[in-house]
Amino acid sequence: MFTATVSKAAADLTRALNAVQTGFVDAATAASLKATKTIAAAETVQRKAVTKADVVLAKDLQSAWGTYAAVERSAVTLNARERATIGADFKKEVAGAELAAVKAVAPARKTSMVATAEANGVYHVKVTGIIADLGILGGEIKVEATKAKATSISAWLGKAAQGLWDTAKGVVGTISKSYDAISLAAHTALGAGGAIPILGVVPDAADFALTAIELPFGKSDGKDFALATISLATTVAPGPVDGLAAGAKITTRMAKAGAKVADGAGAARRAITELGECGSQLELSSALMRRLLGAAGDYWAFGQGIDATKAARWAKAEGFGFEIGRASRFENARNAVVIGRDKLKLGQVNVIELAEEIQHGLDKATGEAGRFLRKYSGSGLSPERINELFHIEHFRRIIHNWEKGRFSFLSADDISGIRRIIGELE
Amino acid sequence: MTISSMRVPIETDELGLVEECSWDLVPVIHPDSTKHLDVDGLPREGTVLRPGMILVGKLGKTAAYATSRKPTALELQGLEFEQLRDQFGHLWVDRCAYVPPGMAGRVVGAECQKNADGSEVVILTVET
Repeated sequence: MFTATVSKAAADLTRALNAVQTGFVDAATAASLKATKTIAAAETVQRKAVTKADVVLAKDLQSAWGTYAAVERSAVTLNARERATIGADFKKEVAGAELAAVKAVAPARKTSMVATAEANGVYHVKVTGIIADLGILGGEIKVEATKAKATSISAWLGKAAQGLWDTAKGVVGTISKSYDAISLAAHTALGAGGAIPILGVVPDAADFALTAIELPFGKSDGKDFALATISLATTVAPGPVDGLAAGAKITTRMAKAGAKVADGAGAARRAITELGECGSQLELSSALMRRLLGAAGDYWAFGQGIDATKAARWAKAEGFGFEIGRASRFENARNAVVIGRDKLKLGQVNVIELAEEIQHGLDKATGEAGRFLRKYSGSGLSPERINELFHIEHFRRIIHNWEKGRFSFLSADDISGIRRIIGELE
Repeated sequence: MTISSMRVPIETDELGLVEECSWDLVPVIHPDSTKHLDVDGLPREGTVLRPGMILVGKLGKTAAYATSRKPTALELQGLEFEQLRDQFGHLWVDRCAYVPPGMAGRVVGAECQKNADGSEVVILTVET
């Protein structure tokens, strides 16, 4: 009985213990679940917070980058605008100086041209394609319309004294027209043929007809017509008389053609003389422009700028010093690149200028500049032109070195600028 | 040891232009003689001065400057200093201030100041 009771009690106890244990486990599981849920909730909150912070950060970054980009864009625009202004100002300055120089000589030139024209039997000179604003080289200088001769622009450009035409005496046509040569040959041949007894009537008649046709066009005149008539009439006369008439006819035409050729040659000579004067004037203005360009030596329209300290580093990388002086060059005595003070722009050095002077330093061993000067001394070229020719070679050496990896501070745009400078110099 | 102050005025040249102050006095003065000068032609601090040395590097333009041409970049590069001086030296005139005879010392300060009338003067402080 007792045993049974004990067993029952033990079973109850076991059950009770199991129940307690199970309840405890359930409670623990519940607590654990709750804790897990709490952690998950906390994690969710944290994730949300992080996400939110990320969004804020991203927005801030975006804003910051936007500001930076705007600042950079503004700086680039400002730089570009400044460079464009510098280029435009410089071109305007050069053009202004050139215009002023030409204007300064224009009145004297006009007087000289009119005087020349009058002295040469009165011409009017037609020059086109040159600034009309100058009041002299544009349009025509009309001196005397009735005795006017025109000189074409091709003559003024000195290529050849061709295209001259004579409007004197109402005759219009070029002096050395091929027709004149054909006409002379035809008249000469027909005239010679006309000297043949009896049969010569045919060429004489042809010559007479040709003369009559040419008469209204000014290619034959009254004297030619009279001689042609006489020649035709004397066909039936004895040989010597017919021959004499033919000879007179041919001689007259030859003399006239000769006079015309001489006249044409004279006109050509005068045109060429005036062309020489005009050419000198144009050359002067061109030289003036080159001098201005040379004096300014302004590469700012072609290349970018870098800080003087960076420029000094680039010079040092090649083993040279760096100085700011009165004129840009490579100073052998100091083994230093020298940049002219007036060549700086807002404290920056133009990279093309820097490359040019560094290249001088690299060429020091071979003495390129001295060699070039010796080569061209006594060549008759002006110092400015020799300088230009040298710099064409010099800039090509820079490009060559850049292509080999040197002068890495030069961008493709700068190289393009150098090529444009070479084009200008050529 | 004495600290003395010296004043070197910047004047105008024959053309009425203000003198150019620089170490770079080519083609009148060889660059070897101006190694102690800075970009503005002033002696660098610590320079030991001896009689005959350039105190302030200055050049003035001559009347010939207006009518004659300046050397081209090529001539500047390719000609020796003596050739440059012979051909173009007459365009400028040496207006440098030199250390007087009997004076020696060390530069402790050099600066350019503007006068009330707009003209400029170099103030040098020298330790003798």
